[in-house]
Formats: sequence, C-alpha cells, structure tokens
Amino acid sequence: MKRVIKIIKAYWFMNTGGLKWLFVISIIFAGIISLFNCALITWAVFKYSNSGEITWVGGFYIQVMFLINLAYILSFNLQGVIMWKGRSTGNLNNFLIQAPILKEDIYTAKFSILQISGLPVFITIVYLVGLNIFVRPGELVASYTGLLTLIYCIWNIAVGISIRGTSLLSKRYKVFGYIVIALLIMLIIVHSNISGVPLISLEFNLTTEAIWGVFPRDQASLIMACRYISGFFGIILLIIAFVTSYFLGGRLSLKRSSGLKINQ
Amino acid sequence: MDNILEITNLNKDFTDFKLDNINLTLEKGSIMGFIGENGAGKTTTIRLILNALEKSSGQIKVMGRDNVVEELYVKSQIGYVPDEDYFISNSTLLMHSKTLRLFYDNWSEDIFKSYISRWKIPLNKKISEFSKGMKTKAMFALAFAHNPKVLILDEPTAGLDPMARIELLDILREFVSDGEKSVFFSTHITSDLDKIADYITLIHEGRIIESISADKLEEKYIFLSGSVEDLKGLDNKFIGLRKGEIVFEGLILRETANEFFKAMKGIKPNIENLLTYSIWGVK
Repeated sequence: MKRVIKIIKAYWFMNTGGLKWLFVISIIFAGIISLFNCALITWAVFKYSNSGEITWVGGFYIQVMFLINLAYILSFNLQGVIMWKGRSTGNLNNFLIQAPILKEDIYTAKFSILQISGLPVFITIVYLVGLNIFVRPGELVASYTGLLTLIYCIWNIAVGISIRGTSLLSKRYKVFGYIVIALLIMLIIVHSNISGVPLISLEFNLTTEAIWGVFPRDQASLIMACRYISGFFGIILLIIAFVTSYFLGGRLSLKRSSGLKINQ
Repeated sequence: MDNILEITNLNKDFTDFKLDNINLTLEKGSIMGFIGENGAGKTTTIRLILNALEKSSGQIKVMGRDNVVEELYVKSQIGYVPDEDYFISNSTLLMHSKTLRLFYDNWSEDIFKSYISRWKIPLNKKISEFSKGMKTKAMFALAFAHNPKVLILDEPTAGLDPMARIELLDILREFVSDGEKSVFFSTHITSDLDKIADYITLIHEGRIIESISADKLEEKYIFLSGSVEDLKGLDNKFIGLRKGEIVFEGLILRETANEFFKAMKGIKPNIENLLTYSIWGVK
C-alpha cells in the first residue's frame, strides 16, 4: 500500500500545470453535487409523501454525466501519458520502469485513482440504495437506482479490464483501451434517454406502458428489471463489481508485457 | 570473485525474434561492455534484467537474488540509464528527483547535487529546454543518487560530446573502484569500451557469440592484413574477413593464425574488430 501511495504521489508531482488541480476540484465539485443530490431526492420523496406533489429530480442523470467525464480521465490515466496543452509530454510508466516497484503496484495505483474519481457517484448510489431499503420511495425510483447501480458496476469492471488490458509497455492489449470509448457511448445513450423522466412517484405503477413515452419497449423492460438490484442485491452487486475490478485491474497475475518487440 | 549479475539460460520468444539461451556473468568491481548491432537483443536483455519484460525461461540473478522473485530488492540495487530519455518534457529535473526519491530508502541528495553542480545542470529549467547531452547527464545523476550496486547503461554516451564522454568514463571507472559495484554497459561506441571495459560480451541475432575478458581478447584473437595471395584459399579459417582485389583484413583465432599464417605479422584487435568481423563473417 505504501508503494501505491508513492506512485499516486509520483503522478501528482509529474502532472504539471493546472490539470491535476482541475481533477481535484472536479472531484470536490462532484462530491458536493452528489451530497446535494442525495438531499434533494430525500426532500422530493418527503414532499410527495406529505403533499402528493410530484417533483422532477434530475440527480440520477447528473451522476451518469460524472461517469462520462471519468471515462475521459480513465483513457489518459491508463496510458500513463502526461498531457500538457493537448500534447503528450512523456510517459510516467517509462520513468518508473527503473524504480523499485512492481507492475501490480502501478495497476493498483491507477485503480485507486479511478475509484477516488468515482467516489461522488458511489456516494449517491449507496444513499439511493439505502433509501430504497429503508424508505421504499416507489418502483420508479427503485428502477432508476437499479439502473444507476448497474451502470456503475459496468463502469467499475470496465475500469479493471482496461487497466489490465493496457498493461505496461504492451501494445498488444491496447485494444482494451477502446472499452472506455464503448463505455462512453453507452453512457451518452443512457443519459440522453433518461434525461426527461419524472423520477419521484411513490404510487407510480411501473409498467412498460407507463414509461412508454421515454423508452422503447425493450429498454423499458430493462429499466423495470433494474428495480431488483436497487436494494440489498444492489449492494451485493456493487461489492462483486468492485472485487472483480480490483482483481482484474490490480492483482490478477495475468501474462503481461510478453510478445512485444521493443527496440532490441 | 562474487558475481553481481548472473544470467543463466535466458530465453525470450517474440513472434519475429528470440533471445536464445543467453548466459553471462558480471563480476563485482568490473565493467562489462555489451555490444551488438541494432536489433541484436541488447535492449531486450536489459529490459528482462529490469523485469520490464517477462522472460520465456531462464534465470536472472542480481547480487545473488532472483530478479522476479525479489524484484523490489533487485531494482533498488540497480541504476538505469536508457538509450532514450524517460523525462516528462514539461517538468523539471527537480520534480523528477523529488519523484524518484520517493522510491529509494538510500537516496542521497548530496550525491545527486554533486553531479548536478559538477555538470552544471539546471534543476528548475524545463526538460524540454535541455540538450540531449544534458538529459543524459541528468539521467546519470538520478541513477547515481540512490547508491546503486550495479549500473545498467543502454547506449548512454551517444548524445554526449567527447569531453563529457571521457569524463563519464572516468566516473564509471571510479564507480567500480571499490570492488563492490559493477557496470553493465551496452553501447555502439566501442572506443569507449576499449578505454574502460574489463569484459566484452557480443550478442548477435539474439545469441551470445562471445563473452571474454578484455585482457584475453588479444590473447585469443589476432587481426591480420595482407595481400590476398597470402590467404592461400584459407578464407574459412577466419572469424571474419574482408577481401578486396589486392588486400584483405580479417580477424582470426591466434591459435589458427599460428598454424596457418605463421609468416604473417598481425596486430592486436580492438573491440570494434571483434564486433564487426564477428558479425560480417567471411565475405
């Protein structure tokens, strides 16, 4: 763990310019928005309980937007490329090749950075899952919580696969880096679809027809199915995704850096 | 004498190239020149020592410890200077040293600063404004700063001017003078090795074709030149031969020369002769 922290420090030292500060500020900003979001959803649920008034809450898809931004960070971070004014100025992996650290440490450091950047979304998901378990605000909220949980789990596993795939010095597995692009496209599609849904309705009878106007029939069925992972099973799924991602990205001893011919 | 680096039956397979059964040993207190043409396998061997590449089979030991099993210890004992600089160009040398220092317990700021002031390298200037020579010197300063036991140099002197090269060679000689440290020095500039190498290892197409002490080079080989008529059709007795219409030059085992070319006077070969004629063969 000490070595992982040192690598994260190394990333910090070597990333010059304002980009690293932008990264920190964006996480803090996203964290504040997430906390605000949790409070807003709670307020909306209680407001409906007391007055029957339905309030639109856009918090769900704001979280998806955060994940879209994180996909960009992921793509740079995986390569170890230090960017400055849109240009690559070097690769930290090349610099660290000499240092007494293991490749797994670098993977774990990357994994940790990405988990830190995903923390605001994680906070919201855990809060929503808790809300579903203890308050039961209705099927529609449950469905969207489940959907968000599912997206986060997919994002998490994609992080693991991408870190492993774009392993140090290996060009053979660089194709795995495109998982990030696929993830990005998926998130944009989901985001564009859910951005018009009224999310708070305790007595909302969730049927395909009820959300017909927003999603095509097959997608509506998928959203409906997501309500099953909005509570306790959602927590289990989050844990499974995290552990899988950790082992894929940081610890699983897969063959790496072989088959590459670099300037003998 | 103890070995600081031992490579035993090392193999590495690529789709279009392979390192084939590499064996070599580097004694404490010595400098080994690692020579070969481009693409012969020098950088691959070095990357395998650093465990930056995964070997197919074989064993590499640094100070008696396996470089994979005890990677952290082994890397902490190695100072590495690659052929191309590893710097982040918009950062400074100060930031690079600050970063590298994180990973070494025995990092000496005094040693680092002594090289920096000796070579007049600016600490706060962006690396992108450094010349190639300055970058090389900066990499040497970083490599020396954590008191390594073995220096692994991958064609480092190419970017240096003659003055700096000679100065560096003196530093390397001084580095191994206590008899506890060694240098593994891959280079194309064989004249550098003539000055400082204790051992020469020649690699060609992924195979070691000679590993010899510099003293034994002239004991084992002789460089002959003369009239083509003197060859008497014995071309195949040479390790390497270049033949014109009138004269020839060739590298041959001294033993063979004594047997077949007794009348001819030769000169002692240098490392460049060993490299070039071993690769050229008999033409």
